[in-house]
Amino acid sequence: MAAPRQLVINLLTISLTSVLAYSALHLKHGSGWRAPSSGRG
Amino acid sequence: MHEIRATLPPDQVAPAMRLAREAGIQRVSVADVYVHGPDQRQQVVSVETSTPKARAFVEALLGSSDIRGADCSITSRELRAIVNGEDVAALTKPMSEPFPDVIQDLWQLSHLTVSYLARAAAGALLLATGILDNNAVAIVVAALFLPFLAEVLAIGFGLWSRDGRLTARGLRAIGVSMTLAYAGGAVVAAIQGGPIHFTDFRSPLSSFAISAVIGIAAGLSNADDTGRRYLIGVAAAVQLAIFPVWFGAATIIGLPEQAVIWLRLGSL
Repeated sequence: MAAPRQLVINLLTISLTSVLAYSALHLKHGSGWRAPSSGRG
Repeated sequence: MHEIRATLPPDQVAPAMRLAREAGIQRVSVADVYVHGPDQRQQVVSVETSTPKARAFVEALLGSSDIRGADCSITSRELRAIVNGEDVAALTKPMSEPFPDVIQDLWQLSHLTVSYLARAAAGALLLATGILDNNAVAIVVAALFLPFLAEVLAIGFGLWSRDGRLTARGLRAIGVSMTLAYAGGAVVAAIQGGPIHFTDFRSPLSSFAISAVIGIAAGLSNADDTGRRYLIGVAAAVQLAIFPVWFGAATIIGLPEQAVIWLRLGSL
């Protein structure tokens, strides 16, 4: 069926292109983003 | 513009002030506080500055091994105005927000609450009436409060930042939104009856192109004080929610003849 396929394509396209946008922002991330008092990091 | 407050043990205040200076922040306020819970005296380091400098300060704080090893908390607030003698052109730069602001906003928007379910269900019902009647106003109004974009961005941001829990939250929220959209389409079709007048589906290629533009614009806006991300959310909701609502209605009414042709063309 084309409609479910199109829905999946739209979903994947929006989420994956947003990944490109986040990469362009050069935000620092990883294990260091949480404050130590939150129990992780 | 942001205010960043770091509540720190007194011995970490001097390193935090040094990091603030290195981020280009000249005015730093320090206040004594007593923190119940750990039951100890700490100090609050507060800066009110432009969004890029606030981001640099937060990144420096979170990247400092001294401060990360201490018992501390860091909060971030978006400010409407700062009057402190700093040049307004530099002060009002809106990009980009600190990482915790972006990720915690997406976390907050991906929680399944009664309000979330009500918005998803109400939006789906309204969108279903718009699709059955081919009423553009109803479709756009429904898209204003259908929860779809933030959840898809949670998936994307979770993948990018390797936060599997956020990705899982986004997937779960999208699954719920889709299910309610399908159910909304079926309920309205059962009550109102057919046929489905909406037939304005785009070609797969143009739909893909529009989705790509939405994803990039939404991702950039997500870390921008002036991103107006809710308006982009309308475009994303239309792009994603129409399919399950349409299918819910078609399950009850049956596929319109024109739609069958479209489906066959699309499956070539």
